[in-house]
Amino acid sequence: MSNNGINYSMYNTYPYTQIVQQQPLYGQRFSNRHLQPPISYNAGYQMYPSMQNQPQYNNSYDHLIQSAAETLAAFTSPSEQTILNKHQAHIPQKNFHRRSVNNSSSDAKNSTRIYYCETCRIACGGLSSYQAHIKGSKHLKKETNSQNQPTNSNTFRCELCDIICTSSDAYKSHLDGSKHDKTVKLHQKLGKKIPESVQQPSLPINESQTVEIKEEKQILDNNIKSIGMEYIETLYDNTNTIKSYYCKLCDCKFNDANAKDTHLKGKRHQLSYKKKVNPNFEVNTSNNNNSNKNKASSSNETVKHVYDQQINHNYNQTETNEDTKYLMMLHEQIIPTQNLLDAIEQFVKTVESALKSCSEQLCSLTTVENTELDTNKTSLMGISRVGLLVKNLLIKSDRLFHLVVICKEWPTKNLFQNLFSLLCDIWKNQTNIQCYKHEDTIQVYTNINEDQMCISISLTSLSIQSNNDVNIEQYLSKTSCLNALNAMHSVRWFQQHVTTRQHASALIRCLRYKTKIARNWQSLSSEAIEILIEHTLTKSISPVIAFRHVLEYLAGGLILPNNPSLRIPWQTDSIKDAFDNLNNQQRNDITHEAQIGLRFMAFGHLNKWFEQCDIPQMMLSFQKRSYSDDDNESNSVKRQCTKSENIEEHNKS
Amino acid sequence: MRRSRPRFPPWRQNRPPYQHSYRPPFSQHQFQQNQSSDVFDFLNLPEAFPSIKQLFDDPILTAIIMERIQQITPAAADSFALMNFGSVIRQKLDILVLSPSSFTACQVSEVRDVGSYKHNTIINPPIGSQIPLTSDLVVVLKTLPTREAIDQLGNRLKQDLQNEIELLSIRSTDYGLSLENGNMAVHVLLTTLPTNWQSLDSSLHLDRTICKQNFYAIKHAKWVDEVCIHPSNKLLVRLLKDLRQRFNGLEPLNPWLINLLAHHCVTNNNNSTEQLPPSYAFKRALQLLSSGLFLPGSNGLYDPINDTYTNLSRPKPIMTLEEQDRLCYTSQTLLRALAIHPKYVLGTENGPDIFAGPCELNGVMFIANEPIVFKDQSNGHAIDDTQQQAMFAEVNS
Repeated sequence: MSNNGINYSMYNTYPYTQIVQQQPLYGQRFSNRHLQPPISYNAGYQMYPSMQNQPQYNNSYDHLIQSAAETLAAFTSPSEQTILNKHQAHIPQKNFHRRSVNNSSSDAKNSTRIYYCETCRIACGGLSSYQAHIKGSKHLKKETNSQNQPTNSNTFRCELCDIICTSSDAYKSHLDGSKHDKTVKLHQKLGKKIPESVQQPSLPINESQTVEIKEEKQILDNNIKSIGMEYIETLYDNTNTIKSYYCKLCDCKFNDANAKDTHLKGKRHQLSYKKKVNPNFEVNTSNNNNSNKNKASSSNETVKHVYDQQINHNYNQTETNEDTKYLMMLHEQIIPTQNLLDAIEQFVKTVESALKSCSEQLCSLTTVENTELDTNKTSLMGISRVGLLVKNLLIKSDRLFHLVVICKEWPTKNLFQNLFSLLCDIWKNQTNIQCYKHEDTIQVYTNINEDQMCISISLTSLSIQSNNDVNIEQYLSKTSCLNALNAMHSVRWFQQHVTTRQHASALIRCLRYKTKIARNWQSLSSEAIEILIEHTLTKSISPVIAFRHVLEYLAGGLILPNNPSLRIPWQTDSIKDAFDNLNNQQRNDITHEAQIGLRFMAFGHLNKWFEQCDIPQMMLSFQKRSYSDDDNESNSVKRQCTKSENIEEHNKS
Repeated sequence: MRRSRPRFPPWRQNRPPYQHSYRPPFSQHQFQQNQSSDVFDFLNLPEAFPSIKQLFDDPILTAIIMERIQQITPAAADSFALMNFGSVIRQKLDILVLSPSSFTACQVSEVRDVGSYKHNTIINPPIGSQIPLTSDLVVVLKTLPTREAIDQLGNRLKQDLQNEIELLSIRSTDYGLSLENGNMAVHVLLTTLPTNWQSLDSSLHLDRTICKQNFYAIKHAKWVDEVCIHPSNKLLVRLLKDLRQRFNGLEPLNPWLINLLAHHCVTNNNNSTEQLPPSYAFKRALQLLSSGLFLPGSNGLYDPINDTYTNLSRPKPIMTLEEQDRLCYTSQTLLRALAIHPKYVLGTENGPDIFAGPCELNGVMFIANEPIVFKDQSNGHAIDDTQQQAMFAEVNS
């Protein structure tokens, strides 16, 4: 690269193809609030291949707690040891401690000490009764039990009340019950932390700590396909809400969708399906062996394994959700194939190397003209990929990519013209690459696999920000330069904030797909979606909720005129609105579309929203390209490209 | 406290059968997907939306709101007449409480004022309609509210009032009695003591749900009286009632929900005690409704009387799915229209009917939102997988 002594650097040129395929679509390791350690930033960070082989962060998290505890212990008096114990509650050796709420320092409201045995979950009135309890046979038995307790069980467990329920229904009814209420109140009085899942009866099975489901069962659930869906009858009550499901094959009834799904995957259902419907159907009988193996291995595993399992569990939890399933499927379909990515990468590389040689030629030109100049000084400083390409947000229909050439000074029209003619020279002999000028950008078109692609090259300079001159005739227009700079900032912000979030890319792609197929959303820029997703993922735990929140933001009139708008986070010096360039009609349309989407999603018909597409012309470009008329095709694609180009331009200004 | 064994033996681990009788399966649960959360609210995320600071008071909107409030508040003479009418009826009912022996058909336990008149949030009925200004009274009976008893109570009131009020007409309705005097009306909502609720039979007595509603009206009135005192709050209640009166898509928003919503919008100000001005609170109310406050998957508002969130209230969901959708899409449409043409939404200026079809509002092509859940549709239908895949836009390359 610098053989010629040219100060020429390449930014953002990681091989794209390797990255994008390795992105977690809906990652195996679904992290939630409880498991999200402060250092997990690296965990979901798939940008750099070298990081992928890092040890699981679970270990480091444990390590972190451990070391934090040690440091604390070194600085605190022994009496505060109990607090540390509480912090390490998952380590079973120290299972009980004396919790005294009314230390003179802590809480003046309560007048009595409360002694609480963690193991037996009993509150004792006084010290003597507490000690009596500790020495009692019941307590000892409990303690031994709890130490031998298997970590795996096919149950739902209420941590607070220490109740094991074998079904989610029983668990729910427990959470509603008065006993549970009392326990919660007592714990509140004691000032103990109540597990998240227990606080809200509506969220019975989401947090890892309370609910543990057999890992092997979950895995099986994923492998086995549900069969005989058509024999399920759905019963409704007067208000047209689902009352129950009825399986005609097995003659049984279910009250919720999960039970129905489990049944569909179950052996009994499969057997009766084989008996009554399709005698050729193979019932998988090897399940038992598998699960036994798993059981044996899992009981031997350590804390780490429990973590894995919980993560796994959470992952499965989200998967049971219809909307998540749908989003995953959608994402599968819109993510570009390896072949396409390879082709894009090759094309971009070609253009980049061409630009490089242009830079060399320009450099030699200047050195010939005035030899006193330092040879290292060249007008072109570097080249950067911007936009979707480097953010890994491409979907299959994307055909327009952006490059920015960074110049030392404010680029002149002269320079632009030189660059353009040099590029034209390079590709003079190659028939499949054409070069056009479009306002202040150079557009390079090519045909790969009967597929037209376009790279738009724009010029900018870092010095332009401090330059307050208005447009001067000989320079390129300031707005286009600023747009290009803005795009570079956006990429930097994206890499710092969004790539570290696990499901961000997948969600953004899904939303971008909607902008491609819905006319109302065409003016919604990718940058705006990125900012919104970033906001929501910081707040919510699951990708589906994040998706819904984005729709809520927009449906709630975020971008309607006269409403609070969105700040561009990478512009720190001034508060700038991400939707500045939209007119009232576009604002209204975007909001309208989001409102429809929100309601579809709330009523469980997210798929219908994505199926509504009112841009037939766009759909043509989605389909396999086998046009007889080449001209037509290139025209339409060009139109499409320039159209989206315009949008892009709009959004950046 | 201690619980080491499951409550039920293994063969009864599922919900025991007897629970079905008093706790019907939670039908809404299908859509809650086990996860419901608070709906998005601009006030909860001020750091992301810094421009909110400048928007607290919107002078243009405030002017329009004030104009509209003038129009919908009843004239002083009218409300004075209504007060007189109501207090006369109250007196007569109080006599029945004090001397139960004088009336044998039923025994009155207590009489209470409730509703918009009591809270000073009453608005004028729509111009040209025959609906009179009304105030509401709840009468709690010690005895069971049989149809005959209600009729006799009506007759007794008629006798007592004969000499004092002319043009009196009394009819019994499904909630109790309605007394009308030309352009005034007093609704007497009848209910009975909670201990009697179990023995109510809808063929003989008032409907049980109505009895409960009427009884809860007392509690609601107490809460509103105590908590919703800020003038901005009362203003917002009036505006929302007016909106509901003019756009019938907002019908599912009953007066209690309006009070809850108004209170939430005015006071829940991101942990600060400052009350929001009506212009912002009004916008916020529509924003919340548009963001799906009452859609499945959201918690809804906290209901201090039931001590739960409105969308999670177990025994009977507050709205059917169709109503949820209707409320949501109507407010979504109104929210968009408000941004373009506030005078039209607030009713100070006439405009094209935005719900009739595509129209132009202040230069913007405006299309109202369409319902996606219909009354006759089996709306709980699960997504059909094969269809889902087939309908999907092909993106092969």
